[in-house]
Amino acid sequence: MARVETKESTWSFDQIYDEYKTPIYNYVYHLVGDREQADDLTQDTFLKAFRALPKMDASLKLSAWLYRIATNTAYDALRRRKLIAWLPWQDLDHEPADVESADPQEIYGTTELVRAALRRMPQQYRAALLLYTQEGFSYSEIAKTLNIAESGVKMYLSRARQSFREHYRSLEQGGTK
Amino acid sequence: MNCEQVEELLSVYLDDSFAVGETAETALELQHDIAAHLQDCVRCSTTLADFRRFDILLAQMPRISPSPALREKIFTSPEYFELTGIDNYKHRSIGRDHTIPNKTLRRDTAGRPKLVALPGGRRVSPTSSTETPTSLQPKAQRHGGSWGLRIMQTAIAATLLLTLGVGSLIGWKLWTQNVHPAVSSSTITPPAAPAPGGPLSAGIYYVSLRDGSLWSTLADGSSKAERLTPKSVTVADNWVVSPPLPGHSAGDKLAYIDLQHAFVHTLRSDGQSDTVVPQPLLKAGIAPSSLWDTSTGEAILDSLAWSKDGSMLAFVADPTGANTTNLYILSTDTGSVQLVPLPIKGSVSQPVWSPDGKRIAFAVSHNGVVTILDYNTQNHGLLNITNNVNVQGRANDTLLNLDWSPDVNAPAITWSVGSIGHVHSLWVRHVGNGGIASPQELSQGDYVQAIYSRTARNGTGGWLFVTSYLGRAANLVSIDLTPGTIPTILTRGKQVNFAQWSPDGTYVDYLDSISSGVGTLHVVNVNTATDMLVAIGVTNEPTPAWSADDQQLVYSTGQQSVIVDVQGNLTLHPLKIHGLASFFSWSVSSPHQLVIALNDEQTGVYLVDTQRNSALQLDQQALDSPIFWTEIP
Repeated sequence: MARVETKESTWSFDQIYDEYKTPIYNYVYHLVGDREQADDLTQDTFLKAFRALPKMDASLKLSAWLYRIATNTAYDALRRRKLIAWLPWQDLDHEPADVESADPQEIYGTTELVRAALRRMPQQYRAALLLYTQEGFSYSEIAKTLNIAESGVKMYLSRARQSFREHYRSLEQGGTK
Repeated sequence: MNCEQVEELLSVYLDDSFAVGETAETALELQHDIAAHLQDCVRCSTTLADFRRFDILLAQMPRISPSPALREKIFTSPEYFELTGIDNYKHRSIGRDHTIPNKTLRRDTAGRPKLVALPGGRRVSPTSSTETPTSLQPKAQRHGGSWGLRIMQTAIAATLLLTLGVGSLIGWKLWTQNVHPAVSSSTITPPAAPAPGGPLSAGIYYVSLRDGSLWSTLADGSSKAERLTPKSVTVADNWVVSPPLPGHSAGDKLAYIDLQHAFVHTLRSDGQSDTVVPQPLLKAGIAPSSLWDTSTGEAILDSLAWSKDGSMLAFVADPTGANTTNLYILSTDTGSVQLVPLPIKGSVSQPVWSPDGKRIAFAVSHNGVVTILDYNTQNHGLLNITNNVNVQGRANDTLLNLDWSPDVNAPAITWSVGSIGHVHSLWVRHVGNGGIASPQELSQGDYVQAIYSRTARNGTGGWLFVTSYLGRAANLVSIDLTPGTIPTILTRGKQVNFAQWSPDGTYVDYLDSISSGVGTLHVVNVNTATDMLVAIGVTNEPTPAWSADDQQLVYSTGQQSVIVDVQGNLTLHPLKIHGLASFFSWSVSSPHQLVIALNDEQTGVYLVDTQRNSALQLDQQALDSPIFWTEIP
């Protein structure tokens, strides 16, 4: 059994996975907008983490570190996807099978709009906005995760909100998805 | 400042983060400038409102979990085997043992990574560290070898042990320094060791019903749950805690009905003095289990009511076996039980104490006619409040809710009449000095629901009712206890479900357009009739819960629990502890502490510090019934 531990704290790899699988998967999914790719990227994220954990410094903050790996892994994938021009965006309008919420029509429509607006945003702003609104990260945590200065987070979030608003309102008014 | 400049700063203004990278003076100046600009600028105000709305939408997006297959895929991948050195055969156990306590795991497992200090990791039993020497025994030693080799091996082992020890110490130091961990798991600590027997120590406890017993848990997590009630009894659901005495946060007495033997018990909050009230609830010879599901049984089970100072407990009983319940009042000072004499025939139900704890209103039903009486415990007088609640003569109408106005100087009794889903009228009758001789109608119609709050309408008491449109729940309307008052329309064009008052009656929350148990959460300021959208995708179970000071509301989206800062522009604060919540209850002693019961992978009861967004596990057991708070002085 693979474990990472101290005298006071013990984590097995599968405990780490069980603890973070949903937040990391959810984050990656919203970054790349593709369920199948989110599967692959989540797998890559955890395997990279498991590989690197034994070498990490004792002061490691596991959560921010995992999100950082996830972000970089997703960015790499998005870059690759840009290079491979014929790989299309997966249609985001379908609802994943195990969304943990019912889907009254009104909410279902809103969810689609939010996903579509996210999809249109620049990726670095998308990451900052997701970390802030969905994961509840502070400016400082976002700065560490995205490897930018805290003042940069202010700019990222400002741009992110403006960009999201622009795309959401456009979609709301019947803009093409 | 012009609009372009303001728009650049609106995001920071929304997050109140001017302090990042700015001097306090500049931050304050910017904040004032923007606030001044927003007062006059519709364009920028709209942008800010949009930012706020989109933050809410994003925070409320359904959280997506990976399929179980992904776990299998990762833990059976060649990369995983490669980095752990575990072969396929050995690995088959991984999927199962992640819930096994760490002490069962051997540290000499092939491929186990080196030790890494992870601040914020889970605490484990000390046994895991005591296994270290075993894991560090070199293979050659187990197979035998030369003395020189053994000495060298021992030296290597000792060095490694020392390294591990230092590493662990560093890890512990970092753990203790990490006062604000970033994730839920890192802030969860398991319950402490069992408390010793005897009376529970002073403090604030929460009490829950589990497997027919009441359990009390100290709310600081320093001891595990202690059984309050004897094993020989089975506690009914409708147990009650006495109201808090002045200067205290919670009551110190409990009362419950033992389903097995059909007696009322009283109990001190420290688990001592469990006392059987001598008045039998049923006639001797009647099997209690045969009666609880009848209307008589329900009237008895729903009847326990403490007076304001906890000196009296009201309950109803049917000791003659005639399916006729009488009203009894226990004096906790003397232990004596008094039968309240009735001037009319009928069965008593719904006893409700007046706010001063001196009078008690109750219903008497006889041949379908429901009368309301008011008994004065000081002069033993009885007042007939109304001969028949069903003045409209509707076939199925009966008394629904019965309560008191909060004004002890001008007491009034108020009630609703109708059937479930069809409330037809609301009534009030002022009693005492200056009282009036007959009930007065407050409102009539066909409402889906009517909910009363003693604290509503600035502490004068008020009703909330849900109107009906084409047979479905529609909008919220509130009305106070003054006959002739025009009701206040609180919402328009809504389908209101699960409406509830905030503790001080300033707000009401409800779910709009509910479907499959999920709806849009709104908060209404009753005083200003302002209806505010809070969040989409909110579940009706568990019911959103208000903090005692009306400042915060917690709700669940299924996997996530979110705090709404009601006074702070409805800002949402998702809690880092994730899981399927089954119950919320705010602490009575701190406005920033919340008890959350989870019912999934992290099953248990957690005390959440909402300021630090951290969680402490209080109990590992699931909780499927409400909790109440008690105080041991």
